[in-house]
Amino acid sequence: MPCKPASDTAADRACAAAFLKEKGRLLNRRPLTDTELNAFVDQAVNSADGLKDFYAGLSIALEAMLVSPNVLFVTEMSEPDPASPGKQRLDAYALATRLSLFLWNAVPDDGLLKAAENGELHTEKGLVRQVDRMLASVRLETGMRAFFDDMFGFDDFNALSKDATVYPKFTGQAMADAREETIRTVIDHLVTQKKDYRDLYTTRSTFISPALAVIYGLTAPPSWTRYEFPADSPRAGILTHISFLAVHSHPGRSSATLRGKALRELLLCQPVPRPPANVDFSAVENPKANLRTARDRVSAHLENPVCAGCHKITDPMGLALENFDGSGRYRETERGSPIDASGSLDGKAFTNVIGLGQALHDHPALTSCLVKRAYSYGTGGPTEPSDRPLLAYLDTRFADEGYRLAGLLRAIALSHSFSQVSVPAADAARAN
Amino acid sequence: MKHILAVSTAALIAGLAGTAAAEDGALKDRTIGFVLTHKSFALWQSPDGKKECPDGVNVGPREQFKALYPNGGKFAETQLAREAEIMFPDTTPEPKLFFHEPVGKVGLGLNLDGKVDDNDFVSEDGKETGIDNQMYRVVGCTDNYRGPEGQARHFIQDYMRKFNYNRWLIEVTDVDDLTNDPDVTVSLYRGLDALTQDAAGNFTSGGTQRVDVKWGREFMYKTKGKIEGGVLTTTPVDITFPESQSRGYPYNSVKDWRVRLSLTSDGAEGLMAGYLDLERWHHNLWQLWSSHHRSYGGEPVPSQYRSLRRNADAYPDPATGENTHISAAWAVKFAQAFILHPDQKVAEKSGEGVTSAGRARAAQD
Amino acid sequence: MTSSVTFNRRSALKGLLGGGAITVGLPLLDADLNGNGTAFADESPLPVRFGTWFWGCGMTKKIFVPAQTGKNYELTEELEAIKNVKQHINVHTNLTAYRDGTFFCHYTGWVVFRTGSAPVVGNLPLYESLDTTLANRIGRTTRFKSLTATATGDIRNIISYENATTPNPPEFSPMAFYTRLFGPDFQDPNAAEFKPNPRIMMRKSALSAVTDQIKALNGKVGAEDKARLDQYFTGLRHLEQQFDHQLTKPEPRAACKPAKAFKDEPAPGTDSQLIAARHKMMTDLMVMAVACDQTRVFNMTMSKSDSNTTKQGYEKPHHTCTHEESIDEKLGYQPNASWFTKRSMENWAYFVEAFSKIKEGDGTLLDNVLIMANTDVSYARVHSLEEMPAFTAGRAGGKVKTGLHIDHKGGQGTALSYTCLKVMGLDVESWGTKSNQTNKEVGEILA
Repeated sequence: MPCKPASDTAADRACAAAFLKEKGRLLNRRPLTDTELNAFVDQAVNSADGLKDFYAGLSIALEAMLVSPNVLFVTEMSEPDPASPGKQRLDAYALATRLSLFLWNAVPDDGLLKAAENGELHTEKGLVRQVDRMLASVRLETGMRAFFDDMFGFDDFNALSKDATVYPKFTGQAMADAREETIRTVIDHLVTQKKDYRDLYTTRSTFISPALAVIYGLTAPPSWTRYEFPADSPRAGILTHISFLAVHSHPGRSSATLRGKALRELLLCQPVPRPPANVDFSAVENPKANLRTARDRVSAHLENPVCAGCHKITDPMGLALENFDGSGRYRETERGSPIDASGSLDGKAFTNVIGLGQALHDHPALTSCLVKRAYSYGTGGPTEPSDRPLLAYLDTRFADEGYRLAGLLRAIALSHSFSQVSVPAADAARAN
Repeated sequence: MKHILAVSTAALIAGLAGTAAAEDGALKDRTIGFVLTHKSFALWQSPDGKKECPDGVNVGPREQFKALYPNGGKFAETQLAREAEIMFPDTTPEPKLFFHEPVGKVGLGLNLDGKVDDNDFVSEDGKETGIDNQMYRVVGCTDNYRGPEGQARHFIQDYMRKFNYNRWLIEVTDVDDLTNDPDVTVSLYRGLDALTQDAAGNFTSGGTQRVDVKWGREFMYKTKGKIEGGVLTTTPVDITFPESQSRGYPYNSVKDWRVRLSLTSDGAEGLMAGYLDLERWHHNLWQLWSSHHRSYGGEPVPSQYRSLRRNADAYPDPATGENTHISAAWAVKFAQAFILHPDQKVAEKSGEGVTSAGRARAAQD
Repeated sequence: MTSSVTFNRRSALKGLLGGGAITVGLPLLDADLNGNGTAFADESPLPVRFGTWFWGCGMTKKIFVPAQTGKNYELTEELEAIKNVKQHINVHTNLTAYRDGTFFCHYTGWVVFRTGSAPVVGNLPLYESLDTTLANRIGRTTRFKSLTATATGDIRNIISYENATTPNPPEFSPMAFYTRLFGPDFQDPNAAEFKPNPRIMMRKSALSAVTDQIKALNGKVGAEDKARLDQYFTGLRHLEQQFDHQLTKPEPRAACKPAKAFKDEPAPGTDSQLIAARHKMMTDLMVMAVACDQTRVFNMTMSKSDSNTTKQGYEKPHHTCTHEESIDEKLGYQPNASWFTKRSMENWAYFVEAFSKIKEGDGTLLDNVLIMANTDVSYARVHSLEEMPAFTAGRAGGKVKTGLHIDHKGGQGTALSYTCLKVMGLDVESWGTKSNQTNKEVGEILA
């Protein structure tokens, strides 16, 4: 409370206004207009009078504010852009919120709101100052955790379940830790150590916990331990983390198709068509006894021309991950037959998962996909064909920065497109 | 580290031979670790309990109290007096009470002294003789210890899950082959970490245990052993180990301790045996633990103490001539665990190297 | 759109900046306005209510678990007491509560059923209990969000948690419970006079300011944003309608006939007869509180988790007995421990029957409730969390079938709790954490 009411049992307009103004600014991510504020203050005063209770009145006004659309929804307002006549830009508060959600996964702090209030955010220098402040803040980690968790589709973990009879070591703790291992590695690699994004797919550095160590076959004390997979280990890159392997598998078996599809769509931004509605799954679900390995089974896909079209996109990559079962545990054979983990990615052949990681590392779509994901995440919508020149520019900038994440985030946040709005003139006129 | 070369060769040979050593990556650098997950006195029980306890099982403190003081009496002279007998035990006869001890010759355990004496047991199939396990006489007709639902047995097991101070590790080193190896080294430690559980909550292999080098120093021992047909036996050694019990931080001391354990890369199971320090056992289990746990399993501790002393069969006190230790055996189970020594770099050994041994072991999955 | 991948957050939006100068993005907060909305959608003269019932120290498998499953199962020795309400009850057996690490003998099991997570510290759950989740959802329109009572006479016997650190202490005195329910603050739904709650009036009035805000926005946004706003607006409308509902003289409730105040109540004590007497009084009050629509969420504890109920002429309280009593050679089980379970089942039957005796609409009050009953362990002697029993009772307004015995074959206990939550309208894709996390519903009981 910024003030003490004159009486606990009666309305106090000035004190209610002071409270609602302060909280309203933070909750709405902008100062309330006089009309808005007055409406809430009136409610507080009337309710306090009626109930003979200052605080009850205030709580009723606060309740109304908390369910109001301006608090619950991100409402982006635009205004004419003085630098580009005829064009619209986000108003300063909308820009502050967009930046804050993008980089911190949080609503703007007081500093950002002040920069919006005093016009700093709409100056080039001011914007740079705020963006650099945000990039240097520890809160960047929270923001990037949210971004990568979103990009990797890790909300699938919320509904993940494994058959405990098939994978007894895949415990609930292992599941939670697997998600954390990858995010922790990403944050360490990109945010803390500021390393090349592409190396995430080849790095042998990771973090392990006791629950994960049981699946990895490693020694690990309580809590989290930094760990380097040795040079002869089949694990390199976050693709070989338990997270990716387990989340893109069935409850009781691995899936070259699911893994390949996820890799294409999540990491390379290459959509894989859905299977046709009349697909006959019997060939893969009730495999003949002689089809011992996943490769034998998915080859059935390729014999059927209806399936082959899409499975050629997913399976050759997914099969490279077959040395890991549906819980992410390493194996060299399936049903007694040795696993052949060779494959290819868009023309680049490899013999095992290490080769897949390298092929992914070198794939041009890997970095352009991150650019696209980050931009659409930051601006709150998918990219459009009209964004191509900008994305190409961002691709170049990302490369110039040695594929460092902070450089990309900075380039996006400072780009004109990030704060500009393309609005048909008629709409703009109506809005104003 | 000096043995690394030997490991891969041995592992390769073992792998091709399809023996236990090849099944998993648990044996690394000629070392495999185990953590205790189950322990109870080794008691032979007939299906209905009538053979070994024809007169039934013992009664607990409440029932004894009624027999001793049918009309009650002053607190200090009745309840307190009986409690005092636990803290200050003696061996004078108890005419109003009874204490059942198992009868017969069949028993579980190991031959500790290499001799076949009159009071020794034989295995059920008659093949093993000279089994020394006088502790069976003491606790064999007491519900607290009898399977499967004996209450002390249950709670001791429960405390393994609940507490970490009773974590007990066996590390077998210099292992060339988990199936046959005439010369291995066996080290004992106290561990620091919770037991690893699988998705169903059962204890499982593959967990990590840090060695307690601070308060656990008194639990460190080293002895030699050999593996024959997958069974590890050890040279007797005097040890002290942390006991699983919820009050205080109890421990037991055993002279001439040894094991007979079937080993796999997932765990070990079998017997451990030796001469138990009876005063220490009485103190840790029943002076420290509560009366209601004695009542749970019908364990009349003052009477039991008399039985302990009566059946004690080793290490006489030079002054009194009374035996201070009693032969005992425990049924034990261990889960394989990676044992982490303080000077060891974390996670330095990958369990997943693509090795020929690995290929062979995967073929068996 | 170049990718068919959908994300759970902002990247799922379409044409955000194309449509207009003002755009409304995805909700910033995971606002559950529809929680109230759904509750209102169910708003009928006969709403569906949720209750729990608790007994301590489990059961004896060999004389509790029926040999048959499905409809025509035969009652067992320990279940004999439920014969009059068998058709209203489902018997659930062979459920598992996962410990996920450490274990608190008489706490972990029931807390898993009630909160979805195994506790890591004794006597502290990690999350709110499921009755609270539902009370926050369907309990906002009644005088009491939820009511919790115990027949043990001991306020410390907690069964409901508002959150991890805030227990909901139970009503433990029948007389005090009566006063709270039907004392001076009671507004008889059948009384001629109706006095609207001034606080609700104020809250409704405050909502109108918000409604104005949304109208202002609605005029300016594009079609897709408008649809998003409409959805939200519907939620707000429901909230408003709830307030209206509370400001309108309630429908007369024929079944609402509170008895006279008690002149006396059982003396403090743990004797099973005292508990039964207290349980009867508490149950009658609870049933009437529901019939009078004073609450839509209720919890009743018959005995605490490590039950200290005593039996006349027998020196060992229930919990002690489960550990100490020898298995009777002829019977093959602990006779006194089983005696306590049988008393628990009598009380459970009384509880269910009490709801079935109140007429409501074309049926009974029981037709419009769903009650989940559970316990702390399966076999108390060894604190097992495998093969755990539970019950459900009532038809939840026709959504649930009854009269069945279901063998869960070792399935998660949380699946039963999750099913109850889903039946009561909670829309979540899974419930519980770690090994107790589930998204499975018990299909056998769904109508």
